[in-house]
Amino acid sequence: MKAIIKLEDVWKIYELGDVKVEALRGLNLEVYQGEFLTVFGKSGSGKSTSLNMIGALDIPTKGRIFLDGKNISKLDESDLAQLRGKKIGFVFQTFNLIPSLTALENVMLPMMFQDINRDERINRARKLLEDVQLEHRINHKPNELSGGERQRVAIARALANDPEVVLADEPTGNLDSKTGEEIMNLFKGLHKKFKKTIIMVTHDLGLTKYSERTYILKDGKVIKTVKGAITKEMIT
Amino acid sequence: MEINEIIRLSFRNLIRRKLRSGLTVIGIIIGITSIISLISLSQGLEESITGEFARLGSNNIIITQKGLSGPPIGTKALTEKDLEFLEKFNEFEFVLPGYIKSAEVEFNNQKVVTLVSATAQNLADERAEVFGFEFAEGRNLNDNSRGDVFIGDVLAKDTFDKEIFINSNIEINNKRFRVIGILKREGSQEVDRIIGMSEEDIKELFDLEDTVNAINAQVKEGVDLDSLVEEVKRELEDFRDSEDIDVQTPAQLQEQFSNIIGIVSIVVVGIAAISLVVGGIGIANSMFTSVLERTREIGVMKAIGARNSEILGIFIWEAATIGLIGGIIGVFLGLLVSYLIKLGASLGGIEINIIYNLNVIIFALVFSMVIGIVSGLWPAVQASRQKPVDSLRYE
Repeated sequence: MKAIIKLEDVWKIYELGDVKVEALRGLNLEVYQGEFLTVFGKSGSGKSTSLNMIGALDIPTKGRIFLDGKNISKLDESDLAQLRGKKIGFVFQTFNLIPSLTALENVMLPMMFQDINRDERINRARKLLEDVQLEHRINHKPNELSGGERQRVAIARALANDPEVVLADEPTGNLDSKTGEEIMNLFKGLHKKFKKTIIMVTHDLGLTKYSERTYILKDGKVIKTVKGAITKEMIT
Repeated sequence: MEINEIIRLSFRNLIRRKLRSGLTVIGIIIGITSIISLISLSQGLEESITGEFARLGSNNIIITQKGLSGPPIGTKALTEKDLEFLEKFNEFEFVLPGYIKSAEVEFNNQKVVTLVSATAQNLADERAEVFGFEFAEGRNLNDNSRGDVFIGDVLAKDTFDKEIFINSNIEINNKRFRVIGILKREGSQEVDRIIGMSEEDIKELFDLEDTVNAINAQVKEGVDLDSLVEEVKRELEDFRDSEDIDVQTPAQLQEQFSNIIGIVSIVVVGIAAISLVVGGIGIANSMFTSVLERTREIGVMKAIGARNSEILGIFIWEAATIGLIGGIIGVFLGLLVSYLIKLGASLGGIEINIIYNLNVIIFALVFSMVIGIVSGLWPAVQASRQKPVDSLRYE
């Protein structure tokens, strides 16, 4: 199977004054095209930093990152932005919608940065909002939507530029358990329907049952790879 | 990202913080309003002064004591002796004395203050016809015109509750005069409100004895004005034994007045410009706050593909829009204010010209936008340089 993302011996060292914090210490991982993958770790395991690396939000101190076979570890900020816009869709724990824009406009925004014309943007955004069952809320602003609805808008936004990878950072972290389940089922459905590669970063054991494979992170390194759901025993 | 999308997005962000945007815009409005109204007024003033001087003709010179068109500096007034001395110059066709005084005029139990004159334009002297006034009704003064006056059109029709007709009597400094002529309306506030009387009457009324306010000399054809001005000044000062004479051509006088108006308007507009600087600082302040508030949003936009240049563009456009909106409203208010000043002044009997100059308006709009851009530049650069990772983590 083709690896769409590959991290090779990735180190990330933050300097906080005189103290050096090693957030990632030789992280190796591969993401295969079309899979639903979880990166699991407790807080402090380097989970968030690994998300930044995988999502091309930051560059490593050391090591190499390949996206679609291309080494992106040395790209500058603007090239990374372009790359992210095209190839990666983000879903955040706190939704991160733009408050001044309607649901439809939020979904249109990533396409705007790719210079897609307005008519096409509107059509695609409408279609995506239908896919997440929000066709009746397209002209509402984020503060007029419930948490679950906001996350659906965020998922539609993540799919706007038809990216190869959808990266979800604790996607149910701010939702009650019932809504969380709905969102996870939506992910699963979209995974099946669009054959997208989905990478979820979480510290919630219960979510791993939705994915096909899980990397367990500890101290900035992968300590285990597990197929299917993981249990408490596996991480101690 | 297309420019119209950037504009649309910027506009949305401004509307989102209506109150703050509004307050920031007011800073620019005040500056542009004052600049537009002051320039309109000062250009109007300059134009009417140019008009006044045009009627003085081009082939003559005006001799006054120093300080008459500036602060009083205790100089010796011109006298009839000076007039006689100047009559001996071969270069002059003739010389005429001029008198101008302000006086209280009473008609129909109402009193106003206006100018009373016996000048080159209205002397009962056939030589003065080269400067002549045009009459709408009645006639000019002549040699037997003691106790008669002619008056300007505005003074006749629009100054008192009742209109002054030919043969009406008016009182000037409590002395009765008969109106024998009314001038055609000229659009000049001095001429339209003037009272012309005979040389003898004005001397008696103001107790002038042999004092003359100004001497107007008509120069013969073909004489070089510039060298004549020098010569007249030198010789008259020798004769009077004091260096206190101004000899000027109407063109020079006009230039002098224009210069004064120019300096005054530069100073006044300069002061108004300070308020624009303050307005610009207001924009910068508002934009810094906005960048801080939207740190997370900037991170999100970057995460979903916004380049640094696009973030920069969005924020600069926001600042430019604040400037431009302030400029548009300011121009509109500036025109309105100058119109209201004109209206208010004309109710008080003073005619003020205002000139609406399209170039000034365009300049004000561009300038207000430039102020916005300059003020927004720094905050925008800060926004665009934020690292997505840090911005996304910002609480």
